[in-house]
Amino acid sequence: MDDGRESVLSDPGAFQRAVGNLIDVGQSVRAKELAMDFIAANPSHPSGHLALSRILRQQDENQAALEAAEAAIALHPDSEDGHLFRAFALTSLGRFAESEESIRRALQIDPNWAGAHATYANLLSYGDRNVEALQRAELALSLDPDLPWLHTLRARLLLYVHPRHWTISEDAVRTSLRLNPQSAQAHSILGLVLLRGAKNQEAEDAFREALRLDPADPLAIRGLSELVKGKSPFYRPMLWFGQMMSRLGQDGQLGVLFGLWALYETARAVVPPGNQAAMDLLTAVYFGFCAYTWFAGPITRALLRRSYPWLT
Amino acid sequence: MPDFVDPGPLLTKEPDARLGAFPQLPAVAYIYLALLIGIVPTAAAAVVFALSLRRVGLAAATLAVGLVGFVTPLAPFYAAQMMGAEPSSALLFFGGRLLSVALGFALYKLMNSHVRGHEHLEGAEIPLMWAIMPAFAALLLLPNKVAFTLVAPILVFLSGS
Repeated sequence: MDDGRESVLSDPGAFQRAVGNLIDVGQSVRAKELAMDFIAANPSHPSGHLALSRILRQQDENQAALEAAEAAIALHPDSEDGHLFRAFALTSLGRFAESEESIRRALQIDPNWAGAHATYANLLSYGDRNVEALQRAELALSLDPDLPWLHTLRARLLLYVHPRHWTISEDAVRTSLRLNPQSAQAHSILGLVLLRGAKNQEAEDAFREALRLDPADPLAIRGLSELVKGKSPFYRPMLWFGQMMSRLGQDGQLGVLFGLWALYETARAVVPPGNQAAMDLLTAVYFGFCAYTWFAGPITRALLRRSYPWLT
Repeated sequence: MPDFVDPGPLLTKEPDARLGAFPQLPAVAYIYLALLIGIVPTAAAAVVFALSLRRVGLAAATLAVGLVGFVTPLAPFYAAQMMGAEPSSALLFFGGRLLSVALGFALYKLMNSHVRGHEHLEGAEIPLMWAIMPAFAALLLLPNKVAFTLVAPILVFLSGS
């Protein structure tokens, strides 16, 4: 047993595999101990610090993970892994600009590293730079088309960038599922895409499959909630309205909302001052519509809470 | 490889995420609130939320939006006068609300990345409904004079009642 541990501590490749295996089976405390031992045995080798950074980030100790990544970079300034691990920790700490700088440094060292481009795409999507994130994701896919989670990311970004063309997103997420059928996230994104396309039954199946794989998947819970609420006649028009609005994208949605409001205000301005009945009717219709769009969700949820306590 | 031109760093102006002292309003709520209860109370709320994020510069910017919002109800009057038109109260009110919504959009732009950062650090968010419902109720239930004071306090101040 000790011989095995000694050989792991003297061979960086074996050490990395051992840490990876321990993390995969949820033994992060043992993985951390192994990393500390490796650092003690090989203080000038960056692998121990990199492994420690990865473990600490998994344990949500992001500041310590950052310090470990920086220790690895100090030992080996051209370590693309070091810069990427630093970027991961910085992103978790919410230091987005520094994280971007670190990813760009990793890409200077290896411009064809699909994983780093993919990480960059993910970071840009945090910052609401969806067009640029999509370009980055597509670049990463051109370098490595076999990363399933990247196809899922592309599908999600396509929904933001081309909200009307949901079928392109469907193709992307189905590619992801061909590569990894066990991804709960891919199933929930498929559900979202199908919901946008008003294929409600297929969307429900996709959300249920996502929840079978990961019962806590927040997107699947939200999507399934919408579909369950949509079975109530009171909420059905709201579901339709929501689907129609989601296909318009953010600008289109703002256009519709403020267009309706401007229409209402203009109509009020042109109604002759004495015609109180017309004014009241306009107000009732407009505010009734607003109240319905705002309150249909909470009201339906309250009505269905007894049968579906998990509704969001 | 697709045609790809690196646009350079894109997140240099993205503020570091900071966790607020209490749950934040969704940024889009500022647009709705500006429409429903006027820009001055909305900007006052934004100042409080900006301070809860320990962002003095942001608080100053939202305060500035509030001050601009305080005087904008006069703009439609001046615009009507400059065009030599007889001001219609409904159109003046519409113009005032339009400016209020535009300033609400400015608050949205100012607050959005900070609220996003707060959420990124798993900070809680106030449901949009909790912000809109009281504003909606205020719009419908408050006496006209009080509602008008919220939407255009400067006009009430200048008229002296």
